[in-house]
Amino acid sequence: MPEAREQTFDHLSPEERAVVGAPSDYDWAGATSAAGSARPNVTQFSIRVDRALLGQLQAIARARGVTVSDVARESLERYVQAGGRPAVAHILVSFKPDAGLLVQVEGGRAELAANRRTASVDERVPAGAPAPSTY
Amino acid sequence: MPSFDDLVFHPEFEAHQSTAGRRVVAVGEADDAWHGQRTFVRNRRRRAAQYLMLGRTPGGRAITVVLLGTSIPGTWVAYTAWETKTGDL
Repeated sequence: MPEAREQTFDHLSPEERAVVGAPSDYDWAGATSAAGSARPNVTQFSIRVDRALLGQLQAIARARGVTVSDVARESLERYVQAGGRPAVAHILVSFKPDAGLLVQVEGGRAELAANRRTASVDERVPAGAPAPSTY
Repeated sequence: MPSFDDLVFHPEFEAHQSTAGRRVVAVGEADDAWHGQRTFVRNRRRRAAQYLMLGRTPGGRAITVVLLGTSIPGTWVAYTAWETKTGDL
């Protein structure tokens, strides 16, 4: 890697400058280069959460006997696996006499029992009775 | 020369950049640069920022990352970053 040259810090915000300082603070001539270590399979980063959420994470972690990090990591994994949806998909289970038992997942729909003969729950509902829309 | 073993990203790493109106160097890009060929420039003064790390993203962007020291030897916090201007490397 070529020798580092002194940079300008004109593009930094006042808050950044307070932390970073001035270009003249740095030993540009004494810069040292090195290859980074082999990439591990993990990256550490921190997130800022409010106290209420942290308290809830701690309560879940205590109940499960795991760490707050474990709970947070698992929730992030689920979030990613769900395509970035903020919560577990909302599931509606409903029954219609002419359609059978329906399980409706946000963004999708599965019909578990398509007719009266295969829908056992169907037998408990007299024909013509108002169908409960949601259980 | 201290060791540079682990990098942890500040919660506002990307926000610091966007607040200043710069094109953001993403956490993943800085992490890639951390594991590549890098150059460290020491701050001679007693400031929170102890080193600048100069490196490149896999896409070829030259970046500078501000490193804060921690109480754990070899572990650093990436506070903010910017695209290194041509000629600075």
